[in-house]
Amino acid sequence: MTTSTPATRILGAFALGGLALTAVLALVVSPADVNQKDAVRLLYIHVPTAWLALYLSFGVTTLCSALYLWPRTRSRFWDLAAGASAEIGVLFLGLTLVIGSIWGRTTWGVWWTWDARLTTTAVLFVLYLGYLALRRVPDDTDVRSKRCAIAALAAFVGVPIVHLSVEWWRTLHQPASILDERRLLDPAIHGSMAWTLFVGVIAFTLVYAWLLIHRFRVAWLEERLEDRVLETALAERRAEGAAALVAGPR
Amino acid sequence: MFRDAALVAGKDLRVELRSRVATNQVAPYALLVLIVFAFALDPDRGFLAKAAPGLFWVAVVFSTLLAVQRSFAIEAADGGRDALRLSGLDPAGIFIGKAAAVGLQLALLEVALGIGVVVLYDAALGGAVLLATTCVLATVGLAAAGTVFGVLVGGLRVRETLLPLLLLPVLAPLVLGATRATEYALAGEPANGWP
Amino acid sequence: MTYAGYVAAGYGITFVALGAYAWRVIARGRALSRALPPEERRWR
Repeated sequence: MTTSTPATRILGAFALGGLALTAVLALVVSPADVNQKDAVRLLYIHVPTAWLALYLSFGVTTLCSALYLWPRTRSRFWDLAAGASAEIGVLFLGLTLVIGSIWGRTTWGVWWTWDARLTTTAVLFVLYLGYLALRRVPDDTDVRSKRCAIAALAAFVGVPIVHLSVEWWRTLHQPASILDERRLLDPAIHGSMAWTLFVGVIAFTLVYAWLLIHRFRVAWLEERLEDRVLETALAERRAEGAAALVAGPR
Repeated sequence: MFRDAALVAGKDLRVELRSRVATNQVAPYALLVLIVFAFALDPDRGFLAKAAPGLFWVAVVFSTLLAVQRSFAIEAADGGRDALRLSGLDPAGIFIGKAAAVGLQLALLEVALGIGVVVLYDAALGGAVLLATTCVLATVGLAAAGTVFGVLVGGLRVRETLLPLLLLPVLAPLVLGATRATEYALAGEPANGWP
Repeated sequence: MTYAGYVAAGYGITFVALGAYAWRVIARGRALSRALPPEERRWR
């Protein structure tokens, strides 16, 4: 008995296949860059994880938090989904930072620099670490969920800041090559690099979906377990009380 | 005495493992301190790297405050302090146990902060033996001093504001020594002795 | 380290991190499923 179903197994197979295909395309088929040589191959991890974390994961978290806060749609489903998506988003963002750091070491010569894009991303990372910590604080479920939902909405403010940081400030990090209203229809990336990146984004999205479903189900089961443990404990206490009544005062 | 210390230390570490406060809250806080330093100070080439030893130890000290607060916060709930006193455990053992638990958490934090400082401030590493010795001695000092004052203010309602006030002056010489030793380890020659 | 080394390290870290996280989630799912009866699930 697990959190898997036939559907997730198929999804998982596609995700794994997608990752394998991405790796092959990225490492073998696509060309090395003129200036960066092989280091550019890190692009095919760095960009997908960044997009997935910032826009998809944290976007889903924010959306689910909003749906939880709105009384008409409030349900445990949205709260648990928000938490699961945030955790995966933090994982992906951490990967973005690490891979970006390695890539920076090869192209810029430093592991880190305090330019706007990197700094705002690091701050956003810690912000969502704080959100995850907030989720663990033991408290009444509804109180905690509302608190976390508001925190998630506040934290999402950081995402547009990260996105626009390369526009607002002069940064070492390059400006948007695709996700920009001027570039969307005429991106600054071409040929096999472009569709390798595309494959990479699809692959990582499948990975995200697979992880999200499983992580959500784990969270769901955890909550069920907590409720059961509480019910069992209450039943035991009541039984004790009844036994004491029957036994009479000592 | 050491058996009691092991008992108390084990309890504290088990609480930490289950609640994960140090990993979820204190560690990100330490990282944040490093980031805020970068905001406040000039990130231009070299300056942060030169200040790295001092910034490292300041971040460690701030994290010590949190770790000590947490160590005594878990006793404050449910009358834990009285329970400890009534338990018949050797008081010295309790002290060593709590200090050891805090020290272990600090040691792990220092490793993480060390990596953070090397990556974020572009600091160079070197003088491994001196560095390790400094860290060990400093951590023992931080944990011991922190626990002493933690006990003093542990039961008070104003402990959050009182602990830093009492503890930091005591830690100042320790910070001085640790920073100079770290500078010496990293660069091969210490700066002038007084700040 | 050649550029190839950095790239290999990058891909290695990525796959290890994703794999380890996936493993942890699946393992926790198994343990929880064992502790609960089947009607607690909202999926098949």
